[in-house]
Amino acid sequence: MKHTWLVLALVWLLGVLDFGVAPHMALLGVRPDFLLVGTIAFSQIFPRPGSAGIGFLCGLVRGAIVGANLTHYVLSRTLTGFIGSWFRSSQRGQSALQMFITVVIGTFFAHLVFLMTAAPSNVATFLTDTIIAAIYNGVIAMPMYVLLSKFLGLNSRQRL
Amino acid sequence: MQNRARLNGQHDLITTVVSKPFSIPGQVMDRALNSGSQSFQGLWRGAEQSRTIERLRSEVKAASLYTETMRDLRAQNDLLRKQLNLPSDSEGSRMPARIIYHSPLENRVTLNIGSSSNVKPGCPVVNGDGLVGIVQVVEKSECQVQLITSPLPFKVGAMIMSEIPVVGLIHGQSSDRLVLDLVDMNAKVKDGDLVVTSGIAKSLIPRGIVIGRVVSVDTKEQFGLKSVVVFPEVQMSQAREVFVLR
Repeated sequence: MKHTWLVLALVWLLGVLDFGVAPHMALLGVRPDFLLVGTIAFSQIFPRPGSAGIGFLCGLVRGAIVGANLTHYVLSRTLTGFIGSWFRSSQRGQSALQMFITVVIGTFFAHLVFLMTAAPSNVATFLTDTIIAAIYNGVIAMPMYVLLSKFLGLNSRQRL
Repeated sequence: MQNRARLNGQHDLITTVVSKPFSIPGQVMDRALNSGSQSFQGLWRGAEQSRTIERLRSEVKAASLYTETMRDLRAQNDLLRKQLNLPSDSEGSRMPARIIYHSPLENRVTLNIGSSSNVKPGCPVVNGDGLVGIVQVVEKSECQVQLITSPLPFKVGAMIMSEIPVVGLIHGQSSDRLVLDLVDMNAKVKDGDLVVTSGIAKSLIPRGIVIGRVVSVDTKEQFGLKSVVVFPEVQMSQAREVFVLR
């Protein structure tokens, strides 16, 4: 990937936002997951190996920030990046609304993988939080995707 | 590797190396946002905040008087225990700390103090309402706390302050539900009874820290078990300032 340094810088920025800003943005007890939104947004731009790699990195960062078992986060984010890139709608660019839907589905998928690998103590609460988080992440993804596309110098018809 | 490191009260190497570049600028951003939002609130709620400051000042005075009395009583208690050749049960010092990261799904919070402030794995963490959790992993300038709402295998020795106090082990079930399993089927427990730490489990937790109140009792006669559901006194999502008991 020719954008390696830019991607690393953006992942770092997302990690810092996740640590410092996300707790201040909690809505109904759920905070946005900037790194997951980034994973899905990147998966709509980069090919499968690159998206899986970014998912791996975002999972590693998220797990380290939380101080949790890294395997669960790494696995769920890597799979989300890979599958997200595989299923991206077409070679054409996405609109903000399409990005919202993609991130909602992506968040459900990532949380489902997480649920299967590390079942939380209260599944009902986890699922409720997942629904709120999916919508919240979707809303955040719309401006983030537009910014990412601008940062990486893409127009609506280009893909890497 | 990760589990082994955690059992030793430390983070594994990968977590330590990966989290550092994010936690330091993240904390700076968190602090900036905190002070920004407080200043913004001050613009709108100046009069209310000055009343709050006055009220807090008088509460501080009352608290310092209470602390003084407590210190005298503790000194007397220590003296009497010494005369009876009993070991001291004083809880040590309290180190103030701030929660810098809260992960509700993992039932874990990160505090802004660590081994440089003499924090050790197993130290209890409390706030004004009661027990928040137990320190699990310690680094130089931060530590991670396993919340009292954590599910099994995390357990804390607890005691129900009923007519005849009953002891058992308590563990989390959800963010607002703890379960205390009792073997004594005849234990008389009723709704509203206070639950505190027993101080008899093999840990650094002293006796008498408030955990919560009994909200229901479920008897499973076929298993010879009585499950007591406890509502925690500490609202984890609202806790910001805490104390680590060393």
